[in-house]
Amino acid sequence: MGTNLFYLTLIVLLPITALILKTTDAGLARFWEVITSPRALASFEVTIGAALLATAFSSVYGLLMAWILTRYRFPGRALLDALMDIPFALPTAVAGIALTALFAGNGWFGQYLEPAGFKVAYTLTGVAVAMAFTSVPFVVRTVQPVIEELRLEVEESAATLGAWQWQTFRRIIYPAIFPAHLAGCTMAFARSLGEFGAVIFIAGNLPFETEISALLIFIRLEEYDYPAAAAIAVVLLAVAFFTLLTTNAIQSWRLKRVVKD
Amino acid sequence: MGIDIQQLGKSFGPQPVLRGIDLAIKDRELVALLGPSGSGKTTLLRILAGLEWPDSGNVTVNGQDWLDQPPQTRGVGLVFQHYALFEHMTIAENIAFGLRVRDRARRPANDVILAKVEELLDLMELGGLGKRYPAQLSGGQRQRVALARALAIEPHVLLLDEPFGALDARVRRDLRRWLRGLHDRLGMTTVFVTHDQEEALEIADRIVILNEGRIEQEGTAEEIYDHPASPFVQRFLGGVNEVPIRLLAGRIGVDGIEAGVLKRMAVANDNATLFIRPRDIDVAPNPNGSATIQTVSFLGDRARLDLAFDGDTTVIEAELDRDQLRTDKLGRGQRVQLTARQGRLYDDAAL
Repeated sequence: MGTNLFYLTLIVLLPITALILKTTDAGLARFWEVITSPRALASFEVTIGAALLATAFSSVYGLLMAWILTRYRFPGRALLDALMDIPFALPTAVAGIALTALFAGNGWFGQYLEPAGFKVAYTLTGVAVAMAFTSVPFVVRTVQPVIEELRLEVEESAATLGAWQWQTFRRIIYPAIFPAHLAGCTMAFARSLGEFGAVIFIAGNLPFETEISALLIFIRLEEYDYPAAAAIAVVLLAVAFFTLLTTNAIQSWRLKRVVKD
Repeated sequence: MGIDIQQLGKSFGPQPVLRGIDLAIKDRELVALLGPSGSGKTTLLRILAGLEWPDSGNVTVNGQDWLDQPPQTRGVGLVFQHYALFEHMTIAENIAFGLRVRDRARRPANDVILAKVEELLDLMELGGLGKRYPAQLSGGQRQRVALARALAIEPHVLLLDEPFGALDARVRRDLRRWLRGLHDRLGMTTVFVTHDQEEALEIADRIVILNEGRIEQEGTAEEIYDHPASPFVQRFLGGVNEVPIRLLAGRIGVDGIEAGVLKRMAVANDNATLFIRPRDIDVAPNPNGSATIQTVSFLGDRARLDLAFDGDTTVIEAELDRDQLRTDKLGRGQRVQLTARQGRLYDDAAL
């Protein structure tokens, strides 16, 4: 217990405290000025907006993939299962370059998408695509074990009681996997907020349009403006923290309703 | 509702699990499908529930083809060994589920559903537990919730898959008697799967014994117990001694056991085996007897003796009243004479 607390303090709490202390170097007025500057506000909008888009996509696609990987047996299933982890294993910069190459105007996807009016590279969509790419495994990997544990007999009981497939999914299956799904989506969102490597290549990084907060932090650091970098970082930290707290609250509220033996 | 099953066949891959099942289940009958694991009994039940589809054959209920219908419209109540309750719903919500998922035209009003739930909670002796969650109940209570949930849709056919298998012995005995009473009160057709012969013999109107995808025998408990149709049935019904026979002047003889009182049985040669139930063997103290008592095991009012012959590895089991143990002063190491009161003879080719 003592050791745990020590490591937690050393590795997690200390850097966060240092970060918050750093922002106070220049005083609260300066903090407020930095985080309400138009460029910072625009970066928050881009980051949070794209992260929400990416999470919305990951929540559906990740659930679908987890369902397919657990419920269907098909040739190549093991390979697909292994491929799911690639975004985790791949250096995010590599992912960023690969995605840019695909979606750029002359890329494999871009050459068809752009004439059709869907510009992905160097737009908010591109940012969201990069975020979704790196965060989808969070959803798949948290939901998958829970789907595996669902007992088929429960669904069969529902069927003999007269429930059709969508009713069984909505009333039986989804409530059972909801806590895991929520946790996966939260992690995907938190990861998207901080994603740097994969995003900066495809984003184009136009201030006010496709510049993410993580990049703005980096720019301020390069300008030796440490308090400003820390101030923006604190905002990201606050958003991530708030999301985690909310999901934890929802989960414990649900846990209270279902007592496990 | 009567269920008519004809020539039902089913394979999982190359492995046949049902090989031509013919069975007519009468309206309001309580039928036990009894058999070892792998005999196809659960597959048969799942086909009746609509969760599995046969490769061949027919299932007709009241003249209607049941294989045309998905499980949702068959109106069967299904109960699994491990309850399969909806863990995130209260007991009351579990029971109401079948009524709540109905389409608007067939769904009863909310207060009708709630009244129905209360009625079932009382019927199942679960009064006051409606607001609890499944994880807060004991195994026996959970199984009654599963039954209540199945009964809420007023099924014509109740299907139970090893319903008492996960419960401890006392709860199991209580619950199966209670199930028999419930079946009689509600007037459904009930089919239940079990591998426990005692359970089947106790509560079923009719027992169907399955072996390797075929019906080995069907009949009432008495018919099956008194006239087992095959060595398999006799073995399955519980501990039986199998001893090779000799022919002595046209009469059956068994080494070490007096079998003279057995009625004359027709055998062409001595390639046959005599099946004797442990309770059909008399044990008498006799210093010149051919058998020795090896162990005495306690079975409540009765006792089981393991008996061995000199220079032979065969062990014969006999069951007798503990009173007799006391009056005859039977104990380990004692020499005794064995007499078979009755038995059944099977040709070795059938074994």
